[in-house]
Amino acid sequence: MKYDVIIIGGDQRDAEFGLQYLKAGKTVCLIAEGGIIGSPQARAAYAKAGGIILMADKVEKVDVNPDGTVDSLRTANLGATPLKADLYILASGRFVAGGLKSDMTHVWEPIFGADVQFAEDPESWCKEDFFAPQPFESFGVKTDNDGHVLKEGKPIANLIAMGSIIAKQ
Amino acid sequence: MQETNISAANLECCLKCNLCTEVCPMYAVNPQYPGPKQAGPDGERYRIKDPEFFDSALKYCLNCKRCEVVCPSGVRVADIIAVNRLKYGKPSHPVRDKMLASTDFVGSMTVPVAGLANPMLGLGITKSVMDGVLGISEKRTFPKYATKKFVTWFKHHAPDQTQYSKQVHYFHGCYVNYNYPQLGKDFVKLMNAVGYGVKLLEKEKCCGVALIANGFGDQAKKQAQVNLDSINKAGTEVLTTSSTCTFTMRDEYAHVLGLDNAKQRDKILLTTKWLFDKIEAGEIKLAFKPDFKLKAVYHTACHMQKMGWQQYSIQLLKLIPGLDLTVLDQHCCGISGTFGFKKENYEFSKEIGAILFDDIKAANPEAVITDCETCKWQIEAFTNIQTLNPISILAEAIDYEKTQQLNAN
Repeated sequence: MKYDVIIIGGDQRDAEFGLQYLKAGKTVCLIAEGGIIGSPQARAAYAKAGGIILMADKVEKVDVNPDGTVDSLRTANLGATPLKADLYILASGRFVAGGLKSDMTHVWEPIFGADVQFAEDPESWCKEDFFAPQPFESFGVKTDNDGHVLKEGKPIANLIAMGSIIAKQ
Repeated sequence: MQETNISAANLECCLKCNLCTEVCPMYAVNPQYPGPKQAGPDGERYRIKDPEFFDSALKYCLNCKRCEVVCPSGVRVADIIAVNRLKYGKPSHPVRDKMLASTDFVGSMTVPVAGLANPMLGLGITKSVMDGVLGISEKRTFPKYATKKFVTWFKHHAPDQTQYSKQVHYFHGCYVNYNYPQLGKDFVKLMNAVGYGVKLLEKEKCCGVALIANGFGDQAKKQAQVNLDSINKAGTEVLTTSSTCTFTMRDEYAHVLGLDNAKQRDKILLTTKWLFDKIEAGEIKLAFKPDFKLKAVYHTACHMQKMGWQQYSIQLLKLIPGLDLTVLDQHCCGISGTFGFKKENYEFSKEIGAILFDDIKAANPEAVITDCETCKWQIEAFTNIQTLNPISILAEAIDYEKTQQLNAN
């Protein structure tokens, strides 16, 4: 299946963002692992404009071109069917949404293996005061100035990050 | 740590967000149903301690899986409910439930006398008796039985199928075999047009979805094992034309019946998915009749949405030049297999489907297209608009000779 834009996300802002592409005459597919959270109106407007939503689906494999760009995605539900796009948008959120994963010492981005900014000392990830700003909230994928996701220090030309998955300075 | 310390249905991951309750079609119409969160993960915490906490209102779950599709935490809400119904549920009307669930037995008995049975089943007096004695709603009309089983027709045509160098197996299901063999014939026509011969499985039993829904877990397991063994022996992919049979064999066998189907799962494919992938890979080409014209709407069956496969059917249908297709918003039709035939469920079934029926009527199509046979019964009953499987539409729309030529190699 080929689209102009594939968004890996799942909240209403992703649907709203996708709608802008649809209005510009592009074809859009939204892979929403956790369903679409938030406004049913945003979801309905996106669907009505011809946007495709893959509900409760999950990217399981990424095929990469020799130049490092994304060639296609494979999902749990679609199996062997490759999903292709000119532009991929990573908007999979932080820890609760599953965009970032962690163990006791590391934080990683599970789909593309993107470079992730996080503090080396796990002791510094949280503050005891529950209401204080939590340092782990600033962790996220590294991007260049145009929003391209970095992998091993190099930007991936057809993959941009959007939303809370982006590392905060 | 967390990922290795959770139950099979992800019960512990429930965040109590209630998105499942928001999309539950039964909760919206039936105040007696506590909703998927309470019936599923919440109730499970109690039932683990003491089965006495089993609530008979779990019988209202349609197993439409909409709760699982929206769950942000991957909790298999409906699986928890289905497993508990099999463990602790009691049939509300044992004779009726057994009859509705025994699709192979009832189908085999009725087909030889279909000429008599069909008009009889349509009579007001028969309906009243079935309503009073069996608890099958008199407002329902039973789907017509075929006068000849699909497998009987296929036996006569099986020799023709060996001429094709490429082969696929077909799981026809009860509906094609006993009620609507035309869909099976359409499947064979389409496969032959694209250069594939058709074989049936060594043994095929009802997928068991009706047995699971009516609480006959042991019988469902026996039938499932027969199917899994046959699919294992089949040397090719096993194609289907029913979204629910497909979903049951791929997911429910493992998640609800606890059977190991890992070897067979990827071989079981809905025909539209198989066909779409082959066309995308350039292995199959279709040519269409220039004069085919139809205005239709596509209804995504709940199990189709759960599998995430509706795009295969929709994209294939969009290849047909003469088809004016509108894709409807996804709503449950309300029948849920045998559920809607039961007298006590008729009003719920009708009320749940109302949004869909209104959407269909507003679009005023010549036909509704859906991958599920029980959605077809429900839609036809409440809208009087003919409802067809995408395979039948494709079989009708293709230019058979041209398609054969395109795929001859």
